[in-house]
Order: sequence, then C-alpha cells, then structure tokens
Amino acid sequence: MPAPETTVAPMISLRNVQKRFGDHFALHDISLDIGAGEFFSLLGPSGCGKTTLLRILAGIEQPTSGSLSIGGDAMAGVPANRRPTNMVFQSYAIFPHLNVEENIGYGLRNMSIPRTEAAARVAEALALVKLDGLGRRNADQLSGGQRQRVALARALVCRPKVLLLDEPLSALDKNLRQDMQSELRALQRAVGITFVFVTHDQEEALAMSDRIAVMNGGRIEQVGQPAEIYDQPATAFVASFVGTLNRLTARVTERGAGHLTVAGVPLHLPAAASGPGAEVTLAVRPETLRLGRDPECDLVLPARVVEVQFLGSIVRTRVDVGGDVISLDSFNRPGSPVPAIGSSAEVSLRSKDVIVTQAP
Amino acid sequence: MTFLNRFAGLRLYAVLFVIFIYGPVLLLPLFSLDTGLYPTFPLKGLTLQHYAEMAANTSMIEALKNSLTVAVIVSALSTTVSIPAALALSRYRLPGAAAVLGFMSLPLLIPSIVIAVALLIILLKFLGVALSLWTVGAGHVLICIPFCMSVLMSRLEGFDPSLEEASRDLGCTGWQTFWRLTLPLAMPGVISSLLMGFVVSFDEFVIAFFLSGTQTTLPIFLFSQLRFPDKLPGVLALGSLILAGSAVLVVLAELLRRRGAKSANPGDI
Amino acid sequence: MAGYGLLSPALLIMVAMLALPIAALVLLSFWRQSGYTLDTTLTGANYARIFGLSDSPTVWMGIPFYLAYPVPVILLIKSLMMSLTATVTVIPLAYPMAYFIAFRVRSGKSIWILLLTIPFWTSYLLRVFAWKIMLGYTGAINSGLMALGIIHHPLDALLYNSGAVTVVLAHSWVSFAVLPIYVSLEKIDRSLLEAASDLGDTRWQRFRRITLPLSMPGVIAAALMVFIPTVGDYVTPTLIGGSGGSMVGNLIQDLFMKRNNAPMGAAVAIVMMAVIALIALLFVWLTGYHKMRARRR
Repeated sequence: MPAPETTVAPMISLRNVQKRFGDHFALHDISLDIGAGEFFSLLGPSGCGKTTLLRILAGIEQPTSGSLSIGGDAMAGVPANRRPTNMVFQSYAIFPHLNVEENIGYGLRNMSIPRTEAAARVAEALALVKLDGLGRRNADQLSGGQRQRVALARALVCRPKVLLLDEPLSALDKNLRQDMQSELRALQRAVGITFVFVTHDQEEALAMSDRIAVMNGGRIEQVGQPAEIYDQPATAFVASFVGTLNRLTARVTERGAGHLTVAGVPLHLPAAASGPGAEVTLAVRPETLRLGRDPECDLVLPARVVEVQFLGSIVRTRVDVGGDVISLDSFNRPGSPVPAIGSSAEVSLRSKDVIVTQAP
Repeated sequence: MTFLNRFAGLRLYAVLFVIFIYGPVLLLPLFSLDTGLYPTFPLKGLTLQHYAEMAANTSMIEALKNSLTVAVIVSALSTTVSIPAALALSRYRLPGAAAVLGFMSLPLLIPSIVIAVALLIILLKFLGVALSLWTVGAGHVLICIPFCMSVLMSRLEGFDPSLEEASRDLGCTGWQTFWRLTLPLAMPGVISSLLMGFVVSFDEFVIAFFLSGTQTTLPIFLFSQLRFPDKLPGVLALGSLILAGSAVLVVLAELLRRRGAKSANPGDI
Repeated sequence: MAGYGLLSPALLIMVAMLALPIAALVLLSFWRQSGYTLDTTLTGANYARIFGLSDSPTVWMGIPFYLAYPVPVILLIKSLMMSLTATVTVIPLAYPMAYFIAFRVRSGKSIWILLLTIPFWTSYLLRVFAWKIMLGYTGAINSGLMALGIIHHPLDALLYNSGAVTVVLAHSWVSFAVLPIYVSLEKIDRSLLEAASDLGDTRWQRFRRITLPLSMPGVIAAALMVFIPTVGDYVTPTLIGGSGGSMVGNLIQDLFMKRNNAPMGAAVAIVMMAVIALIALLFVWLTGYHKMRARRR
C-alpha cells in the first residue's frame, strides 16, 4: 500500500478494511488516507467495490473487519445519522413528498438550529447550487440536473466534514455532465471540504480529482494524482482502464539486458528483462505515437493503415504494426493529409513512453 | 443488540398475526374430528364418523354436484371472456381504459347483497325468469370476471410486448400470434384464472342464497344445516373439506401465476 | 378499435349484469309496493319515508332521531360505525405485518403473501361460521375457559352483539388490508431511507418522516378496501350479530324476502351505496390521496 502522501493529519483514514457479503469479498484489505480538503475519486469498473467503500464511509454499510476514522474520530459503531458525512446518492434520493426547500432543510431539522437560521442556510444552499427561486417546486417538477443540484444542496447544507458523491453525474446527458464537472470542482474549492467522489468514468476522474484511487476486484490498484495514474500506471489493470492503451507484442532477443524486437525493429528497454524468445507486451498511449518519421523520436516502426476515424478535434488512425492493430491520435489540422486505407506508413515513438507490462 | 431485538419482535408479531388469521378457521377441522356432538373443549376423542355420515347424505351430494357444475361452467366462461379483455387492456392503449377497468372491478367493491338484490329484481320483476342454478351461475360470472381479469392481467403484463412484435415481424398474423405465442405464454395465468374462478364460485354464498331456486349449492346447504344443532358435526366435516380443497386450489393457482412473470404490484388498486 | 372488440364480450356481460340491474334497482326504488302488486308510477315515496320526520324521537345510543321510520337510518349509521371501527382496528394491525414483509423478509416474501391471501379466497361463510363456534354460549372460548377452571359459568356476551360483529369483520379483512400497504412500502426506493439516515434521522424519525408518509397511499387504499365492502356485509351480522348486531344488509334482505317490500329495500340499498360512495370520496379528498398517487408515478 502506498504511504500516506499528506503531511497534515488525514481527514479519512481506513485501515485494513474488509467487506464480505456471504462468500463474496466486496472489499479486500483496504488501507487509505484522504486528506482534508481533497477532491478524492474512487475509480473503477462496476462491481469493483467503490460504492461499497463509499457506503462504509457513510455508515450505511458496516465493514466486516478493519477500522475507519473520520476527522480523527473512530467510526466503529457510529451509525450513519451521527457521522460527519453526507452523501449525494446516485439516484439523488430526492424525497418525493417534500418540495425543494423541505428536501434541502431535511437534515437541519435534526440539528438544534433555530428556524430562522435554518431558513437562511437553506436559501444560501439554494443560491450555492443556483436554484434560487425554485424552493417551492415539488420534487416531480425538477429536471435531472436540478435534482442533482437539490441532492448536492441537501448534503452541503448540513456542513459535513466529508461529502460523499456516488456517481452523481452518471444520470446526466453529456453536455450537462461536462458543465457539472467544472461546477462541482469549483464548488468544492469554494466550500473547501473533502469530497469523495465515486465514478466509473476515467475522464471524469482525471478531470476533477486531486487524487484518484483506482479500484478493481475489491482492491485498490493504485493511488495517485491524475497525471501519475495516467503516465505511470502501477499495474496492467490501471494502464488499460485509464485512457486508451495500445498493445504491441515484442520478442526478447538478449537475456537480462532488455533487448527486444518489435515488428523486426530492435529497441532497448531495461524494464523488460525476460529470457530470450519470450514475448513481452508493450503498452503505448495513442497520443505518444506520431504518424510518419518524427526527428524527436528514437523508434520508427513500419505500419499499414487499417482505418481512419474522424473524432472531431482528433483524428484517430488505426494501423497494423507487425500483426498488432494500434491506434494513434493526431490533431485535426485543416489541410493535413488523411492517410489512405491500405497504404504503408511509418509510426514514430520515443522508447521512454513505452510501458512494459506482463505478457497477456 | 437492539437491532436484533427489533427484528425478532417484528417476526414474532408476524407469526402471531398468521396464527390469529388462521386460528378460528382451524377449529373447524379440529372439532370435526372430535367424537363430541358439540364443538366444546375438552375434546372427547378422535373419529372420522362425521365425515362418513356426511358422505352418505344424499342432499349434500346433490348440492355438491350442483356446486361443481356451476363452478366449472362459471370459471370456464369467466376465463374465456376475460382473456381477450385482459389482452385488450394490457396491450392496447385504449382511451378510457382506466374507466373500463374501474367499472370491471366494481363487483369487488359493491356489497354482494346489493348485487344479489339488483339481479333478483331484473330477473324476477323485469325479465320474468324463474330462479335456478342458471341464475346463480349468471351472478357468479359477474363476480368472477374481476378476479379472472386481475389474475390474467398480472400474467400478461409480466411478459415483454416486444415478443409479440417480434412474432408479427416474423410473419404471423394477429390470430396466429395469439395462438402460437400469447396463449402459450399466458397459459399459467389462464389455468390460475380457471382455478380462482372455480374457487370464487364454489365458495360464494350471498348471491347464490338470493338467486337459487329449488336446487341449492353447497354453501346454501351448509347454511341451512346451521339451524339444526344436531347437524353440526356434519357441517364441520363438510366445511373442513371445503376449506382444505379451496386452500389447495388457491395455492396451486398462485404458484402457477407467479411462475415466470411476476406482477409488479399485487394487490394495488 | 380492435381493442374494444376484444373487450366487448366481458364488457357486455358486465353491463348486462351489473349496470342494468343497478339501473333496475334505482328504478324500483322509485316504485311502490301496495300489497301484492307493484305500483309502477314514479314516486319518491320510499325515500321520503326513509327520511320522513316525526315529532316523537326514537332514541338510539342516547341520540334522539326525529324520524317516523327510523330503522333504515339508524341501522345505516350503526353499520357505518361498525365498519369504521373495524377499519380503524385493522390498519394498525396490518401495518406492522406489511412492514415486516417489505423490509425484514429477504427471501420468501411470496410465501408470506400467499399465507395472507389464502383466507381471502376461501369461503367467507365458513370463516365467519368458525367464529360462531368459537364465541357461542357452549363454544370453544367458553368451554375452553371453563375446562381450564378460569370461569365457572359461560360468558353470554360473546355472541349476538355489534362488538362481536365488528371483531369478526376486522378479523376477516385484516389480512387483505396488508397487501396494499405492503405494495406501497415495497415501492419506496431504499436509497430514500439511506438518505434520511445520512441526513441525521434516527430509525424512528426516518419512519415518521419518510416511510409513513410515503406509504400513506397504501394505508388509504387498505382503509377503503376494508370500509367499503363491510358496511353492506350480510353473512357476518346474520351469523354473529343476531338481533343485537344486525346491520343494514339484514334490513335489505328482510325487506326483499320477508316483508315483500322490494321497492323499499331497493331504496335502502341505494341510500347505503350513495352514503358509502360519499364517505369514500370525502376520505380520498381529505387525505389528498390522488395528489399522493400522482407524485409517486
């Protein structure tokens, strides 16, 4: 497990947390620290345990073993209603029999706050999520985006130490989702509290987070800043789950020294230290590849164009390199030539951009 | 742990609730096996003699035959007319479907005595029809249709309408689709509807009481026996058999209905 | 309009055997019985008789009724009170059961539901008769208590009064009332309950603020499903009620079968149904049931 990276005392501290449902382990031995004021994402495919972990933080689920503290206080035996956390549910869980104001003020009724102050805080929260004037709306008169804002305001108005968000943007359409990403990030900076954000969308996690924990099969595969996760994936899973990844098969030519050949072209990678004749899988990001011969690159591979996909600002070209089909992205510059399908081409890359993973 | 206590408390309540529901009814089979002439504690001894006596009672056999005949015809007829109606209400977006459904479930809400006297009036005072088992059957069809409809609709709503679209797409006519796809898929519901219709008609008392002529059905025979204390053991024996038979049929019907397609909201109105 | 074609056989039967007879019942209530012949000139005399005033009051339960023929009105009020009592008893009994099945049973929900449905389908006559055996002067309760030495003389107040009828009505309908409540509880999105806890509710607060309000449509449906059919019940007051516990259904039967005054019986039946419908609609309106249902969609 990576050592805690924050120097101040962590806001959330998980130690050897396990969760079992019957015979099935939803979480294996999770240890993790999340700092105060961090925007922290739990990223992984469905069923990886990220939502279970969030629900354990909220107190909705109890861990089978292990310990958890929030804000320095041990949370064992503390029920959800007494934790300094609030949650934005994936379905938003807007109470259908209450209007917007009543929904937002729901948690305040459980604190001993004078009525006038509670009303002021509700109004403030409405303004914070840009729903001014909609306080009397019924829950069924809200759009998806508005429901999401109500859920956010309802959680924030309680002034939790930690805000937990369970895929809050997954129900929104694409444009709204991108707007909400930056808005949510700005909101987090404004209120300054710790956000723990669950998502299966790697772009979303990369765009919004201070740090990300990539999860798979109930374990944390890697914790790090977005750039770290993307550029230096610790495991094959992280490499393939975060971003698009090209796989190239290489053959080891000299034992122990990292001399390989890819599509007949020799290259030297000290990380690949298997015996001669063994196959090694190399991973390459699409954006590190160049079409044609590039003077900055030390490796040039022969290729054949298989497919050209026009993605808007990006053109993705799929080429065959020694039997492996890989993608490479280039900016769509008006006037730049589009390669013909079936034509021969050259692909340039720098050997330091190559990630060595185990053979598949 | 308080949570466990709460859980146990509620479960205990549920068990007591079911005992409370079934308790009184279970007295019937209990006393029917007792040698005593009156249903009193303490029990005196075990016997099947009341069952034997009842089996030898010719007017009981006659009433049983009548009830079986009426119930079989009623359940077949109610189910037959309910199948197309349930299809129409679950497949077509009919204007006024809610009103039709509301109207069709009225017999569940109107007290049976009102239905009984209303039918009595129209039969006797307006149509001049003599009361017979046929008039009983007619009244029973009326109250069975809502039950058959709800059983069939819960089954039909459970399966994917795109199956029928696929069948049409594969070249079947509407009629062929019905015979080759819809009816086989709805078959558990149809059988369930037949069983439910049978049970409702077989056990019905008030309408039969008002609309029967000289031939009686089993519930009316039972009711007539209640006046004679010495007939009580036989009534208990017969009642126990009816209860057991009905329960078996209902369980069977429910199991069939639940197999595969499930109603999204059983019991909703 | 193929849909209506499919619907028509069933609909035709329903119209011929429900709408027409009810229309005939209404028509009959405006005729008059004179001796053995039916006077078919339209008249409101039956209704006038039911509501006809008198100077000398008939006192029932300490309330004076200034009516010339007070039997129908008093019996109707008595029936309504008995049904209402049964309904009010049934709801709190049924609610925990529904709650248990919806929230505490993980597997085997359908077995519990089936257990509660079986009595509804089996002979109502026999279920009520079982109570008669239990409550009778020489019945199971009296003989049982005497055999145990708890009492020495049979209690005679068990049968033939309106209290007994109300108990039996409640017992007969309580399992049926569980179903709509269960359905409305089952429909509640579990994340709403988690959200309530997350926002600081204790279990009891959560029940009061979320679960109970969201299950109200089921409670109201259950109340109507018990109240509406029990007012006009015939079997229970006949077997259990005797003369002390008779209800308006007994009067209708009496007028039709024994007193040979079908038009008056029809008028009483119509008044009863109108009052039930009025109370049901008022109840639905007062509780905002339709708004509640609309919101849940």
